[in-house]
Amino acid sequence: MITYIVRRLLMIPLLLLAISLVVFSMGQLLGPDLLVSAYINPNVAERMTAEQLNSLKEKYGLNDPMPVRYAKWLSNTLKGDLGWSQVGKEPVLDAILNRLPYSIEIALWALFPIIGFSIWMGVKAAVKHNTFFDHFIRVFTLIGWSFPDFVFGIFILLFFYGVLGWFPPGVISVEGFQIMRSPEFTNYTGMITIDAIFNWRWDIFIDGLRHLIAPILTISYLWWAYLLRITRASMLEVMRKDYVRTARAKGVSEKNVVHKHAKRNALIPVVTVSGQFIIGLIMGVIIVETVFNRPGFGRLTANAAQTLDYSTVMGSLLFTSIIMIVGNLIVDVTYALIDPRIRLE
Amino acid sequence: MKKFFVLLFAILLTVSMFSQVPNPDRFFYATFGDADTLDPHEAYDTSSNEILYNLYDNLIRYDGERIDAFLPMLSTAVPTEDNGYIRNDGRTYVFPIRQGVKFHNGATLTPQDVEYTFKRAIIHSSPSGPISYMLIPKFLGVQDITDKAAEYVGVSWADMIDADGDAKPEYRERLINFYNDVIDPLVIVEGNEVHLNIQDPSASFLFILAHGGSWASILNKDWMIKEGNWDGKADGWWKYYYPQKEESPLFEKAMGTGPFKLVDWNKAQQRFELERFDDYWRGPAKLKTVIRQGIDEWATRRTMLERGEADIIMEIAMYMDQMEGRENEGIKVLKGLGDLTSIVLNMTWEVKADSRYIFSGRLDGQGVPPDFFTDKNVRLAFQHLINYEAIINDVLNGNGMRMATTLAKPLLGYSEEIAYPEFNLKIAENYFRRAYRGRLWDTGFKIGVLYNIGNDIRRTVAEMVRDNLARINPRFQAEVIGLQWAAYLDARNNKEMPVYALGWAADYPDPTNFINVYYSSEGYYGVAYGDSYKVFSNQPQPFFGGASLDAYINLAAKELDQDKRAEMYERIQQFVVGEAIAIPLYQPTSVRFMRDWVQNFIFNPIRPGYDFWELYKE
Amino acid sequence: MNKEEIKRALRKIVKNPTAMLGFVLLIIFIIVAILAPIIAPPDYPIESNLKEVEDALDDFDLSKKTDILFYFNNYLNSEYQFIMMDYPDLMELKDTLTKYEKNEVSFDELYFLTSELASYYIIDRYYLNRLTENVNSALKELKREISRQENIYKEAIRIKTEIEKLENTSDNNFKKQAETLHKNIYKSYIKKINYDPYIMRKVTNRNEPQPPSSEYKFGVSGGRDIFYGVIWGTRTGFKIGLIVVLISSSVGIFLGSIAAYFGGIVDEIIMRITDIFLSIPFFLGAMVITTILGTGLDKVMISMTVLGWMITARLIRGNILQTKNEQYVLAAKAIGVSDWKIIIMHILPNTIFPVIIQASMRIGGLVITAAALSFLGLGSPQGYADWGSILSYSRDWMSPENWYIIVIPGVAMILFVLAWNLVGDSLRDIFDPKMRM
Repeated sequence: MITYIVRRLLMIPLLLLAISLVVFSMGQLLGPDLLVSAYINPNVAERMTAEQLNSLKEKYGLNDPMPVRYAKWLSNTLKGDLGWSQVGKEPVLDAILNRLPYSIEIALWALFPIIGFSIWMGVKAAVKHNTFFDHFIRVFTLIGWSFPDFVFGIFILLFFYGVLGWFPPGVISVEGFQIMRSPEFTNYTGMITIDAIFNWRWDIFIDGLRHLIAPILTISYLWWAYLLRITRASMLEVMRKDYVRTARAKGVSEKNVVHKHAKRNALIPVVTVSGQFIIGLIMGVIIVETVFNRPGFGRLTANAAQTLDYSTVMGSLLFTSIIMIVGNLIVDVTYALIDPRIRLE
Repeated sequence: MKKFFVLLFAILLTVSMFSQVPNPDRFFYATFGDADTLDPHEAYDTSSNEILYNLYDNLIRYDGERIDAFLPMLSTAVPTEDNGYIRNDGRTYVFPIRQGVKFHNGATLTPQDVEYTFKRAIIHSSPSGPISYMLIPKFLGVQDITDKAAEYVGVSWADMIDADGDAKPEYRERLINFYNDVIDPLVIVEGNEVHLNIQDPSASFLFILAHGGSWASILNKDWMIKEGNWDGKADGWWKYYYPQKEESPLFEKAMGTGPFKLVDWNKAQQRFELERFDDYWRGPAKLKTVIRQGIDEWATRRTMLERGEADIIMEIAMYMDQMEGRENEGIKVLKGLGDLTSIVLNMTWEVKADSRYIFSGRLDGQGVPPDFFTDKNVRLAFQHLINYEAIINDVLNGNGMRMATTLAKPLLGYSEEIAYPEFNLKIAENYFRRAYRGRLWDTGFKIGVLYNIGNDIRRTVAEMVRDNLARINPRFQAEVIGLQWAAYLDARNNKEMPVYALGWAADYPDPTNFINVYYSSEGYYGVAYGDSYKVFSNQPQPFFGGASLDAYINLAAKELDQDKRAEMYERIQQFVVGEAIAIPLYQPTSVRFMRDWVQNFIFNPIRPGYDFWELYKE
Repeated sequence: MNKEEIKRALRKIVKNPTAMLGFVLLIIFIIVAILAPIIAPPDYPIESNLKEVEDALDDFDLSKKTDILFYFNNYLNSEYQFIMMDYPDLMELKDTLTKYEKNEVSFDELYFLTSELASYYIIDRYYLNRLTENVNSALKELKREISRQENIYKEAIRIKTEIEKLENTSDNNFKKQAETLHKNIYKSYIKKINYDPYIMRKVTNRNEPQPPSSEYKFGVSGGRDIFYGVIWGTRTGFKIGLIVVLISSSVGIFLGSIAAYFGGIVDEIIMRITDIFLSIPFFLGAMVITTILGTGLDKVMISMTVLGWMITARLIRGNILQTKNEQYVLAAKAIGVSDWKIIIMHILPNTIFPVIIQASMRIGGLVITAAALSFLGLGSPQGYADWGSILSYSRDWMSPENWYIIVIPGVAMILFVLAWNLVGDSLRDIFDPKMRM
């Protein structure tokens, strides 16, 4: 097991190299004409002549052949210089590190309601198979899954903020922001609620939390259906297995059958999906970040991809790749831990 | 489980009790996107200019809502021929500098600051910034200082400068001489006066300098030098030519004399915080703090305005219906304010032969030939198939005005006498029937009508063109193609787009900013029509007494007699309407969405954003 | 599975109410999709002459015979007038081309003739320029163009002959023959103008939504008829959903099962390739694909397939890792059953249920992704009829008065996704070997 983990970890740099090469070449396929637009201000763009555009291309090295450009990027990256982010207006590394905490914060807080609720309800629905409860919970969560993500975001915004005024957009109030900027507050992680705890400022904690609830509600509703369904189906499958029947025959209480025997094995597909899902959470909260006006990593990468800001794209890619590779590794290891029959070679 | 829910509910309840306190000293402006840079010589986008307007002052400013009259600002007089401050047949402008004006750091404004500002602008000279469009042509007659330097030294710029951006030793001396001979005399300080010397007399120079054009903001020389920028000397000036945007010391810092100081620019949040400068020479502003934040989602901005957490939000004419008639909720909508912008449907006379947007590229019903729009019949047909009234009434909810040509009202030369092109499908049909000796009607065509993604108005116009073409003749097929910004730009510069909608906002309120741009073959859009347009615009026209269109346009730009000039522009406009050179769609009249407690908003079409020194809340 | 098992499986489905609901919903959707042109007839352009014929045929009596023939001939003339006129010249050009290839005429003569035709726009000037650039390809392209025009001419002649036949037909047969002729001509007319019924036409220039009315049963959103969009969107939903899911799932299943079953280095390589693909940002990938291949609905589907197989692969791999050590697999191996047979007959049926679930859940959501891509200009043209597009128009107009712009397409989506979910569940029931009793 240990060798397996170590081997996987050692492969990370190799993988990163391959991934960065693939995505970088994709940019090459787009060509310098498209890539140069990231460096131009839209206002000016319609006024520029071909010569001016060419000088811009020269300046940012877009006309160089790909191996040269890639080598330059690689050597800079290894030195720690990820370049300048056009969409972030600061160095790429700073742009990412300034925004990543916000996305992680949502992901962390959202994890509990999403996974907790899905597993709890999924198991319950499987146990109460084909009852009204089962049908209701399935349709209810399915509504969240079927719509495009902005629908619920805006709906929740309009209701909880527009009508009730409870959960405003943004990450923190203006006053809170000024407190956080002042010398009396130290920023450790960049995550508002966590830093508030470290600084022992409960007013900031509640302020931050208040701004988190609506986004979390939105994301949760979007994801419940997916995880719930997998859990439920997996539970149904497992409940029919021989060892479950045996346990029942032995006289084990239904509660124990469900929780001690069935649940553990039902969770394997859930684990697989969760790995993907957590990564998706950090990356895919773009809509929530846009609607609730939170500066996040997801939004940064989405904007970078759209405007072809390749420095930012490559920088974000490194982060997401590491998260994903490590995430998949954890998932694979968890398989082996949950099911002793699985042997990792 | 139950306990968990009770706890959860309690937390939620507590949390929702807190709410933001309304604050009369603090102004919140919710808009879209972020500023590009705070360097006045680099910034060319509205978001940057909005901020710069409140951080810096210029030499002169516009009088209230007027765009044709000036008031002194950092200069104590507005130069005119009568007061003798315009000399040398219009080639020298004299500005006596005001005393006792303070910068944000306490330093006092001197004429040397003004001198440094303009020289630095010329040296900085970024080809993608406003200086090369506005100031450098006036001062040097060319758009790029490197061209002038190359001319002077006799060697191309690339050959004079080495890889690190420093001058090669053999050219150093000559570059220093270039500065002393060519750049230095452009701006001279005499006592407390600054003299600006331009190449040719220009009717638009004062417009370029006025407050609202952030490229003419006055900087502080000492502060700039301390921050590591050009030291004002001849030796080494070339090192400060066209730095990367983020390398400018002014990228995220500001030192101006304006009514507000920059407190914070949070890039992640797209948020600017400005604070009142108490020693502002016109007296302190009423507002203490101004926050400008880019909030990209419309529903979010709107809700913030409704809840009173935003005082002004960025306006979008299409959504006016959602905001009107809500005075009882405290929402004020101002409309009918003419923007100095023209939205135009442009036709490329000579499309790149392999462009995918002309499809087959031939007259076979599956495409259009590359010189499709060189045919006057085709252009006139397109001119008559646009339903102008529908665009203004339905798409814009009435927030637009008809335009006969691309010249915006009320600039000099604008005239109600010039007849608007008419929406008439029958006339369009007739022109189509005449084209290509009748074959176009029979064969049909397929053309791509492009717009850039995100611009819904342009998309709607494109769809209207498509639908009307089909109504005239179902064989006239148009495909509405939305391009990502990058691809749109690329297609435009490579002349791949046969027909596309675009907009032009005035840099300064002078007709040259519209007429030259669209109708001269050297104008920004004129260049995009193709070579065949150049041939056309250089042909002698009996309409202009034998002068070509290009020549006549240039004459009008130089004419100093206002009445004569207006007449010339009217003639030009009549000509271009008859030739259907560009199809103006409408002139937007802007709307403003704000809370009713926002007072003293004075509209000026040239000003970017809001004048926070004038505004207050009550 | 033998016949008994199939019968049992079907009985199981029929007995299960939710499964039945799923199938019923699906069948309704299929019917709507098939009947779309009837339920929501597209706005086919009207050709005035053909319209006259149609009206006359509706209210037919023999006195209208001459009128009908008149309009048919009118149509023939207005549509094919030029080709009839140009045909001799085109044939002369064709002839000259062949002669040129046999060196019987000089280049100059060919050029002269071509420029004559070009000056009258019989053929495009492009060919003239081409002749001076590259004679060989010019010849090829000219031949192609001439044959294209020849086909149009042949069509014209065909119609002409049909009309003549009609003129000479007996009074009894006239109506029927005229109707057939009208249908055929109209079909060829529509084909000529490349009408695409999938594009939702704008019914108004205003962007605000308009509530349901007698004219627009579901209301108007983004200037388009919601009813039309929802009905035709059913077809799009099936198209995108089925094709993308089928292909990407197949790829995923294939790769995932190989990786899991064979393990070792095969597993490593495949999983690492999966990692690489998973790292590619979706929109960037879609942008590159559309830049290279162009835009259009099929390119959207390619993007979603190429960038969407990975999760399936990982899912099935996870399950197989678990299953491959089950008793029955080990037993089969011991007997000597070949690896492939084991995979297909034993492992896959037992591990496929999470894949089915995932696949059935994806089907609906793909429409939304496709709409997002088309909004970014990376996919199908603007206004393509799919539910995702209609929902996207609602983004800036959400409010209680505008409920219909969200609820109506939304309900369609929910029912669609629900149907597939229920069907997916019942498929799982079929595949579960424990159910085979």
